[in-house]
Order: sequence, then structure tokens, then C-alpha cells
Amino acid sequence: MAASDFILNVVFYALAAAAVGGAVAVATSRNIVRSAFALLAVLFAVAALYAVMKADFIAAAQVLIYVGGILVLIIFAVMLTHRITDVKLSNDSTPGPAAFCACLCLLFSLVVVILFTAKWRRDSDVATLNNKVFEVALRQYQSDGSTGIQFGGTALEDSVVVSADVLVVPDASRSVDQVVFTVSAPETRDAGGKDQKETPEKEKEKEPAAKDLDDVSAKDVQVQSTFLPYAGRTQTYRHTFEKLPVGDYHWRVKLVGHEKDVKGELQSAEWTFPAAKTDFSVRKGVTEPIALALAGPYLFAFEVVSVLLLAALVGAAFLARKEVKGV
Amino acid sequence: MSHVFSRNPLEHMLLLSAVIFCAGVYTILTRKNAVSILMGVELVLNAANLNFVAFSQYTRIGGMHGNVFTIFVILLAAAEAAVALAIIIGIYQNFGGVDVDQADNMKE
Repeated sequence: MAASDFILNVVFYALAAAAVGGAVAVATSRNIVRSAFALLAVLFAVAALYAVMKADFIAAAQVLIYVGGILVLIIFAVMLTHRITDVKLSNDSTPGPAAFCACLCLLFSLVVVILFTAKWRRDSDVATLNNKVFEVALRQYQSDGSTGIQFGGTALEDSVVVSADVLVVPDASRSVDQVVFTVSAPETRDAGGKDQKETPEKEKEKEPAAKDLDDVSAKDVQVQSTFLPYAGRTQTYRHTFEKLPVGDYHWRVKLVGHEKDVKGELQSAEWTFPAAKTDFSVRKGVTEPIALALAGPYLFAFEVVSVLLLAALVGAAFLARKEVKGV
Repeated sequence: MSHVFSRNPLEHMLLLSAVIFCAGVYTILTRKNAVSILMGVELVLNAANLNFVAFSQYTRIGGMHGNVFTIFVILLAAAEAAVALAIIIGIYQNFGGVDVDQADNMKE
């Protein structure tokens, strides 16, 4: 496990503990002011979890609106409706074992659904979980002293990240020298063979981006070759292919060594999009897509919500304007 | 290794939000105080928001829609809190307390 992964795990579990502890404190505390501050902890922890998920704008909005607005409103409600000195009697709760059992059953069913829904598993389903469009489907040892894995797929965006987890054995003489990522153009994949004959103009316009570091044949669009300095542990190697036109592609991740039988193991390979990446290294914020969505297909809904917010604030001001007589 | 967060982030987030959701439901069910019930509602909304963002960030299914819905939910929660505050103050002025058991005039 990489160091960034370790930090990510520690941060997540700390935040999860804070959120769960705060939520339980909100549910069980006898003191309503303590409940309000536990809710503050929960809201901050959830904001930090948004940041962990790289939803930076959501995290900022959570802090701004929830902590800065809603929680202040709730604390105002506490202050306006109770004498703050006798908070003991203010937060009475019915001793509900039935409610407790109901919530446990709810939690149990939710956990069962979450853990045993096969669609969320990363096994084989394409394009479901975690941007893992391709998992290890086959592992083959090729005759030229390399371990390769091949995928086919469609590039939906102009930038695609191909990454591979590689385990290199410590035996230096038969170890892996390089990890080669290859993207083949759709025409050449259909051609199939060694020869490349069709659509020369398309090949021409891809040619400046191509880095031919290896002896992989010229039909491949881009080649990235990475040296492996470490042995004996799993490492993740990735390469970003930029400016790919939309289309079907053939991906290949290959381990190349100088001996015939390479003692490396390609543990997994995946193909992800940088806009929704899950790893810690490459980050791209979520602010711009949200802005585009709000100004585009969600513009009407956004305006409706704005009007609703205005109506709610006017209604709240009207309700709290004076004491309502004669109920 | 699949039980570690960085290997399976979506399910970890879903489990966490399930726990928060159940705490919120328990708060709503057991409290008499209207302000505490409002806090329970906020917990439930936060759990839903976590699910929205988790599915939006960790899958390719929905694109950005989960994040946009989270924005809407946060805005509506703000409106709901404002109206709820006004209603709670109204109840307090009329019934002398904020226990929801007292405000049962519509029963008759």
C-alpha cells in the first residue's frame, strides 16, 4: 500500500469515527446544546469526507451553508425557545426500545443491501464501480518474454488514464524492466496484423503526440514506458493519454524484461478517466462541471430552487413576525 | 485488502452514510423536542448527500448529477431550516414549549 493510500485510509477512518460518534451523540445526548454541538462535529466531518471524495465545491458549500447557516439557525432555535440554564429538561426523549429495534433492523437491512449487491462489486461488471472499467480479465505470458494484458474500450473523453498494479519479484536477473502502456487506434485494431495500411491521414495527425520509446510497432498510437526501480512489492504505474479522439480503442499493458520468462506479475490494470479519478495523485476539481451543469441542463431547476428559497425566507419572516393570536 | 477504504471507497461511504441515516431516524423517532427532530432531519439529509456524492465521484454512471443534486439538497435544507425555525418559534409562543406532543390541536 502506498503512503498516500495509507494516509487516505487513516483520514477516512478518523472522519468516519467523528461522524458516527457525533451522530450517536446527537441521537442520545440529554442536553440539547450538546446535541447541537455534536451536530456541528457531524457536519464538519461530512464536509471533510466530501473533500476526501474530491468534491471540493460540495465541501465548501457544506461548510458555508450547513455549518454557517443551518446550524446557526438551529442554535438560534435552541436559544429562543429555552432558557439556556435549564437545558436538562429541554431534550426529553421517549425511551423507545421499539424505535431502537426498528433502527437496528433498518441498519441491518441497509448493510445487507450494500454489502451483497453484486452490481457494486468490482469483479467483472463493466463501468460500474470505481471507474474500474477493466479489471484483470486475463493474464497471459507471451512468448517474447513479456507479460501482457489486453483490453478494448471506448474513449469517451479526450483524456484517459491507464494504470497497472505490478508486482516485481526480487530476482534481478529475470525481473521486469519496463511497463509499457499502449493504445491502438481503432483502424489498426481492425487490421489486426503487423501491417498498417489504412487511414494514413489519421495516423499522421496522431503522430506528433506519439512517443515511440520501445520497439512496439508503429501502429500504436502512444507508448509509455516506465522503468521499475523497486522489486518485491506491488507498485502502481500510470500514464495519461491526452487528446484522444472519441472512438474504440485497444489498450495494452505489458511487462517487458530482457529474459525469456519475466518474473513479474501484472496484478491488475485499469482504465480510468481523470475527471472522476479515485486515486490520490491526480486531482481535478468538481467545481467546473457543477457550474456547467447548473448553468446548463439544471438552470430551470436552479431558478425554481432560488424562488423556493426566497418564498421560504419570506414565509419564515411572516411566521415569526408577531405572536399569532387565538389558536 | 478489499476491506480497506482506498480499495473499496464506495461501499465504505455507503456504510457510513447508512449509520448516520439510522442515527437520524432514531433521533426523529424518539425525540419530543421539535429542535431535536430538526437535527435528526439534518442527519438524514447529510446521509443522503454522502450517498449522492459517493455515487457521483466513484462511479461513471451518473456523471456530475449527484453533485448537483447535493447542491439542491443543501439549498432546500437551508429553506427547510428557516421555515422550521419560524414554526418552532410559533409553537413555542402558542403552547409554551416545543414538545411536539403538546401541539396536537389538529386531533380534535
